[in-house]
Amino acid sequence: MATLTIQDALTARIKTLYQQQFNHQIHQIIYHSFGNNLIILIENVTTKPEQLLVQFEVQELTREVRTIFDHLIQPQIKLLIEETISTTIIDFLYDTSIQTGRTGIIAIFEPILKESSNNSENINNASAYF
Amino acid sequence: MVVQSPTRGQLERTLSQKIQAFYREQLGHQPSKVTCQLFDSKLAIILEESVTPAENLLIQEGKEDLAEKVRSNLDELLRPQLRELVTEILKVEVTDLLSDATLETGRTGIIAVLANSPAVRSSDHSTIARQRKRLDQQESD
Repeated sequence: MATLTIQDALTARIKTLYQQQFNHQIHQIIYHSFGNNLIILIENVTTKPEQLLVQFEVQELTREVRTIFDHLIQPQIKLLIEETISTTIIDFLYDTSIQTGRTGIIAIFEPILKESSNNSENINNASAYF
Repeated sequence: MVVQSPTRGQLERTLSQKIQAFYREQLGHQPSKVTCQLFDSKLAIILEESVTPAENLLIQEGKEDLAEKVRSNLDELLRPQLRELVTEILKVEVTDLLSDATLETGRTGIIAVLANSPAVRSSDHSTIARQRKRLDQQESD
C-alpha cells in the first residue's frame, strides 16, 4: 500500500526515537495536513516518573523536566519529518501538556515553488499521505 | 423552527474572526491572518504576525530570552479565555489546548482537542446546483 508508506515510516521512526531516548512506548500518533501545514498529535508521551510526579501534584518540577525533554526531542522529530517527507520545515511549533501527556506539533513546510517541479511533487505527495 | 447547524467552513470563518478580535482586544495587536482548520474532534489554529511590537522591540534590543519569557507567559494567561471562546463558538468542551509561538517568524500555532466533534452540516451543493440550473434556464429563455 504505497499511500501509507510515508505516514507509517514516520510513525515507526518517532516511536523508535521515544524508545531509544526514554525507553518509553508511544501507542498512538495522529496526523492531519492542510495546505503546507502538517498537524501531529502524539498521545501518552510522558514517562512513568513524570506521570508519578503529576499524580502527586509536583507540577513545577514536572514542567521543568518536560521542558528539558521537549528541547531534547523537538529538533530530532523535526529532522525525522524533514528526512521522511524530503522537504524543509520553515516553522515548527511544539507543545506538551503534562496533564494529558499529549504533544501537539504544527509543522509548516516551505511553500511550493512553481519553478521547482521536483520539490512540489514531494510536498504534494506528502500532503496526500496524511 | 429548526435551527440549522453551520457548515464546517462557516465555523472556521467565525473562529478566525473571533480569535483575531480576541488577540486585538487582549494585546492591542491584531494578527495579520488567522487560519482555523477543524478535523475530527480537533481544531488547529495558525496565527500569522502574532508577536506584538513590544516583544519585537525586546528582540531588537537583544533581549531574546526575556521576549521568550513574555510570550510564554502571555500564551499561558490567554489560554483559559481562548478555551472559553472556542467552547462558546463550537458548543463543545475543549479537553486539551496546546500552543507554541516562534518569535523569529511571529507565528503562533494552537491545537485544541475537543470532547466531541462539533455539529456541522455539509455544504448544500445540490441547492446551489439547482439555483444555477434555474438561472441558466432563465437566461436561455
